[in-house]
Amino acid sequence: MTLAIYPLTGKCDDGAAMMRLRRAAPRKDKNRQVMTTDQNQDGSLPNDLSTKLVAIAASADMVAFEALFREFSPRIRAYLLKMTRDAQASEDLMQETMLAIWRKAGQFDPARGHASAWIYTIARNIWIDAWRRQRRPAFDLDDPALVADPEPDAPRLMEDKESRAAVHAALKNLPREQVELIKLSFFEEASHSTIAERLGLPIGTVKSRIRLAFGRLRTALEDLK
Amino acid sequence: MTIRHHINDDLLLAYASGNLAEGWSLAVACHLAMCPDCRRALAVAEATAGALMEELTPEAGPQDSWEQLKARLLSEPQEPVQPILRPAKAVLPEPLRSYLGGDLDTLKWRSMGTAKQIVIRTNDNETQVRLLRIGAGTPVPEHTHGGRELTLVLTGRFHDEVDSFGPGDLEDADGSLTHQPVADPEEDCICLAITDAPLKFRSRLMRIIQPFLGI
Repeated sequence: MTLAIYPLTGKCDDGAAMMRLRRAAPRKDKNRQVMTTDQNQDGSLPNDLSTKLVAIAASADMVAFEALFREFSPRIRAYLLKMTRDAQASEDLMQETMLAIWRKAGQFDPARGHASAWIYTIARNIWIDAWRRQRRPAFDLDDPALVADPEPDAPRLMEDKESRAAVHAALKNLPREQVELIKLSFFEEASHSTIAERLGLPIGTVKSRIRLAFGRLRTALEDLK
Repeated sequence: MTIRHHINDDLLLAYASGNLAEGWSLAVACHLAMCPDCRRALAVAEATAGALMEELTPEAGPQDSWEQLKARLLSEPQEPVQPILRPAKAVLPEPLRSYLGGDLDTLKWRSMGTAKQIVIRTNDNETQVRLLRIGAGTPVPEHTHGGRELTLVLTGRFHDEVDSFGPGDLEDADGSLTHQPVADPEEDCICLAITDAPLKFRSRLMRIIQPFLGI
């Protein structure tokens, strides 16, 4: 099948990832290290995503980009396969996602958020655009009408590595069925009523469990700022 | 600005996961522009989604997947990034101004009784999106909708028997709520109202009588 893929609408783009991405001046990274191994066949989590993104932004580093591709594109493909249930579409949209990562790497600021969250928002927006044929309305952090955070001097997010560990830890601390419901919320094109039907649960139960789980994640993670 | 009515978790997660139709998403995005607290909650949702994506079992693709991508990178021209032009001041937040094609002072309103409205087009077929300007001290029109309704106050205030909504407040009402909201007397109230799209009937007769049945 052929997929018509439309260019993303300029400023309606990257959701909350944008809030952490100040349009930073070009960065120079002296301690750049690039992994070139084709790892993760053992299912371990990918490492140094943000280091690679910084290298790609700083010097159009093709070696870093290939490493990022080998490490992370199978997971982007897995996400898109869940959303489309179509192998060809998931491959096409993964490629679009990687192209967008290459082009937009300069917008990623490792001090302000997780590389995997940033990559997720790009893949999600490409899926919305190409698969659902809808625009993605998103706020613009530099909009003069935006109401700024009253605590602009609040400490920054933890270093990427630590806060990533915190997200994984927070997920580990949730009961399994709550994690499953959060996963279904993110990785299925399904409403809560569809999820409820599939699990044979009342919709009220599904909603309250998801609310409970997300509430716990917020408590655990919002304080990280 | 003190916002008292926020995006609930169901809406926020549907927006974060991309499962919320464009019309509803517009109201959510405008609330986010006005509400730092909800932006923080969205950041948690997206960090969670990113972490869950890392934990997915990798899915192998075609052997030449990287070669294909590399060939495209080297052959396709890089589109220059267009700088976003922003005004020095604005009343309505993005993304709403882009949808309207301008800020409050450029809009062409259509009269609708004591209120005025502008219909906003989206690419989804499940919602109807309108900007409403409700005259000071007058009731909100057409407020006996059967389905879901999201109302985001942009300027001014409205109140009903039990509650009051000011700038940034998002009212999420389902069909069970029957109330008569009224704009506060001090100034006009401008709000973004999203409702389920009107039912579409196949029969010509039904289409003709639909407005009279109020459905």
